Amino acid sequence: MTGGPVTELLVRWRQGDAEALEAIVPLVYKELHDLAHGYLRREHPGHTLQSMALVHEAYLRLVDQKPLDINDRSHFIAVAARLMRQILVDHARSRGAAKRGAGLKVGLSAAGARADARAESALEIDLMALDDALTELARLDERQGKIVELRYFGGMTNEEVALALGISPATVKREWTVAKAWLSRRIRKGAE
Amino acid sequence: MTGPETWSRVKEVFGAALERDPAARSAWLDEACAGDAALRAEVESLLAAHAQPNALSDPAWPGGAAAAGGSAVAPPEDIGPYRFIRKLGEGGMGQVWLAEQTAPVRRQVALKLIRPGLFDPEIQRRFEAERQSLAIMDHPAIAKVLDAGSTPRNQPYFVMEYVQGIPITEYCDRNRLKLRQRLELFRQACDGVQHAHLKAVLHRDLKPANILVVEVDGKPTPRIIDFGLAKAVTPDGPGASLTRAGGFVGTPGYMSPEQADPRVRDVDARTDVYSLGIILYELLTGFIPLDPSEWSNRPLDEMLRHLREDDPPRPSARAAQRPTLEDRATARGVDTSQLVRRLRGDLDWIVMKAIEKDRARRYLSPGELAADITRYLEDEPVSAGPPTGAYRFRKLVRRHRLAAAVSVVVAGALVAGLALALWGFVRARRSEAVARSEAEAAEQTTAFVMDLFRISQANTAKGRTITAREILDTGAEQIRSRLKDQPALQARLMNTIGEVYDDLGLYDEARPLLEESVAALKRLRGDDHPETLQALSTLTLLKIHRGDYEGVEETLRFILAARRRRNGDDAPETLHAQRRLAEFLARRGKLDEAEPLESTALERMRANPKIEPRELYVTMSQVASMLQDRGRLDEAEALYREAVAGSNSAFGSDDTVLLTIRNDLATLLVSQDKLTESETMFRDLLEAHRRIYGSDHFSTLTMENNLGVVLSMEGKLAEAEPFYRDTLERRRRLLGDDHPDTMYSIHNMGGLLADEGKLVEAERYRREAWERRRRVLGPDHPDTLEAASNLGAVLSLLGRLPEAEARKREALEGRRRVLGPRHPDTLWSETQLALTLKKAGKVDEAITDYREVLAAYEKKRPEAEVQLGIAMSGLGECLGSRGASQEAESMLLDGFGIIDQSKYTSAMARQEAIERIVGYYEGSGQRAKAVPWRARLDPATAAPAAS
Repeated sequence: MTGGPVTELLVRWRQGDAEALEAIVPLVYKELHDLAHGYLRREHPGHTLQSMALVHEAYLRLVDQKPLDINDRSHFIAVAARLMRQILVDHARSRGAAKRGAGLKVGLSAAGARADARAESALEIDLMALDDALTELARLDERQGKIVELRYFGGMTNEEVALALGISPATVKREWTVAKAWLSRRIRKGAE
Repeated sequence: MTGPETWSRVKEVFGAALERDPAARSAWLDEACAGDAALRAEVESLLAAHAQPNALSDPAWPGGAAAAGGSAVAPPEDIGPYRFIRKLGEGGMGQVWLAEQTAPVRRQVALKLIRPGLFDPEIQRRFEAERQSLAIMDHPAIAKVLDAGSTPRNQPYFVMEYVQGIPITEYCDRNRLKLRQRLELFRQACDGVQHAHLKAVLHRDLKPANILVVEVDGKPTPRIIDFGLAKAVTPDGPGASLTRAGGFVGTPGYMSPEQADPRVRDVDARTDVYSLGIILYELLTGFIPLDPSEWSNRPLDEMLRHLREDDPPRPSARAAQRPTLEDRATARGVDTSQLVRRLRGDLDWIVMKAIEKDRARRYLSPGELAADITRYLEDEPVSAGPPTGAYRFRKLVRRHRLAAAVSVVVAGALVAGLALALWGFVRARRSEAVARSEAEAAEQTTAFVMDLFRISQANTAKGRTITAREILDTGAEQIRSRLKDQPALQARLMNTIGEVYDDLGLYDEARPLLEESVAALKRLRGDDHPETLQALSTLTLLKIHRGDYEGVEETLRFILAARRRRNGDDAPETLHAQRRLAEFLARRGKLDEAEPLESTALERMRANPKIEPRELYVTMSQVASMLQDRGRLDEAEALYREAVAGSNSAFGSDDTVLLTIRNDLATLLVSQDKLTESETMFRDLLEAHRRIYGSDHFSTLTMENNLGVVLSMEGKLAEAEPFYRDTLERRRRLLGDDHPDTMYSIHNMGGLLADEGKLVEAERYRREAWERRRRVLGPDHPDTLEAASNLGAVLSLLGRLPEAEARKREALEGRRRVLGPRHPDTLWSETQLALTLKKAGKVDEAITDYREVLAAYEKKRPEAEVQLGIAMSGLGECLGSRGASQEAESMLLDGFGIIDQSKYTSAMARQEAIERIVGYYEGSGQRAKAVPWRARLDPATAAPAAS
């Protein structure tokens, strides 16, 4: 995959070619998916390091490092956020069985399973539960669903979400705070 | 369930409630909800959820998609006395602006705005702590931090002395500084870093752009900027040293291996030493070991792996390597050969010691590094020295589990390899009907191999052990000098020796041989001749091992296509090439492409009786591993089993391929909870490893560790103990007491003994683990805190209450500081402390702690449930000691219920909970209720009934 086509498609899209977006999605999805699995299958405790890296990488590879117009960029990220949600949740689902089993890894690195078992972060989130809860939230409040997707899966700041959705940052912040509380309560309830 | 209409009302009230002072909220809600009980309950429940730490606060990936393309922030408004003049730069953490300070003095300053969104309350707290430590640094080589604060929009910033200097590397080249001048300048920079370390501030992002040079009275002086910024805006935790918001906190090329390692949770002074070492490398050679331009077009994980695992060439070797060196050398005021000569020896060693992958082998501090440079400048012997053979070997083994197996039998492999080369050569000759007779060629090869071993025998006779490495080195030399007139044979043998070097991880030695061999075969035989393809395949493998992926995929595709054309789709050579390509694609994360390729290869191999069995079984285990990655455990298991059975009958039980596959299978069984069978396999594997590699071998110890872990997971503690002991004893001897693996073994040993109830001995190990970790990892490292907590637990059981309390308090306070007050580990620490407080008669304090724990409890992970049960049971006991009460009884019974039902319970926790119930009933005169509980006590540990 070279940077060329995507950059070009993004430009066409900005110029009003709606079909360009449809052409971008599979490209972005493929790239993100391949990268995501490359990282995730290494099964480090916590995905954060790898995931950040892979989006960064995907972005660089796709847009050929050329700075994009700010509006293209937020649209690009909105697309990526949706796709990343899908990829992460799929991944969590496919690993679900293994993860909920013994929960212990034998320390081939000789670090010892006792230590491994404790490495799981307390704040690690059950992505499948989150996905369900988020779908439910979007039914209740579509815009909030969107905000969560952009903030959590897209890693956008409030300002960036505001820009992408055409609302004020203060609104984003307010909606995000309540959405977060609602989701965490929903997930916790589900876990009990 | 709330509907969309009520939801907007809920949101409104929730938002408004958040703006009130928490103390006034309840009264305000009374008013706002005005009798709507459902609304009020909903809002209160959301407020409670809001008060908890929320994992959603961190993006699924910090930085995420948004950070990738730079920040979308408008130019800042002026802040207080600072007026923005122009942007100086932008990095992962934020923007740097040149600003003018207007009061109390008028001067230019550098103002660093931290990227918005990077901050949450936790980091805010850290930021506050950090700015205080920054303020106390005072050294001529460190740019002063003048001020720090937050903008009205809550965006934090640092104000620093504005240094109008240029990066140290650029300064040196521009001014053609000589080697000695460079070293002196660099030494001053080390002194500055050392000063900061003494004030307990690490830089964490040292690079030339952060070490600027200014001229003071005409003399160049380094000035380090951005001290401590990385820390101030980074949370701790696994992988945290990499970014939060789109850039690296460490800088590619200069960041240390531990910063690139998600498993390493701490960095220390030696991280800065590493970065300084890289800067010195660059100052001396003009290059850094890891080319930053490669970062943008290679997958990040590869670069990180490369950084963690692959040793860079010594500075002298690097200096000699590059054609562009001439101008660099000239910039240093010497010619290339002179430069290479001056770097060789002391300077090589100093740099290599500073940039050791294993930080335990680095200089402990920048001060030590500076001292060695001083020694060099004054012609005294330096403390760094060349690595010993044994050390290199150990490193090698560490890097390549499989290569270790090869090295044990390397002499055998070499002979086999040469024999194969000979056979191939003869076959090639036959098919091409060349003039020279087969016999002659064969004879020459044989003579050649015999010569090699004659050398080795001669040395052995002299009472000196000859290493496989020496045989290889001699072999390579002989091939070059003696086979000049037989280019084809020479090329083939070069390829063989290169392959063995590669197996041993000696990539620098392997590369020229393999490259020459490919070039020669292309010339002699043509691009897609089988021999050329074979050599090309070997060279590609080397590139993969070195992490140099450029062109690899294309080459592998080329080989596959060429073999398909020449040999057909089902030929062994073709299928081998197909497996290699699949393996590579999987490695690059292209699982969707890799899987069908690999599966088809396997199918075709199964159908082809001419396939070498080894090839077939390796392919099977690779397919199995892909299935395992996808969570298809049962299918993976079936395939592993087939591969094990097949390779067992084909090669016998001691084959290295078989051992590897069996280890994979045994590990898979653990994740399927099939512990009994896993145990049997690990027992066999351990026995086989001992026989083949010896008891001290790295892989043997891993097997021994694994067996011990599986046994203890099965609850067979007494059986596990000798394995734990033996692993520990050997690791101590082989790796040293402070090696991470050894410390884990010490820690595990203490845990096992405590589980067994061997408290006196457990205390000894736990104390040792705690002391070592405190010294090696630092007092706030999570592992150290865990060790303190565990030591406290044993001491408490031993009745040594004052010290138990001290350790547990230490662990609790440390965890509050490092993890926050509501983290499960923190809460568990608090429970632990309460247990001891109760024992020491401080019942009031214990009750307070227990109540705090129960109020903050959240089910975050399975074992936390047991911890909750223990806290409840403990609280019940405390309350009961004040006299019988409903609350005491239900806490005791419910607590026991939770403990009893969890699969993470230990026998001891269960017994203790029962003991508390018995104690409660008997102590409050309810003898009859106590009877059934007493019956459930383990008679061996039970105290006699109170009379």
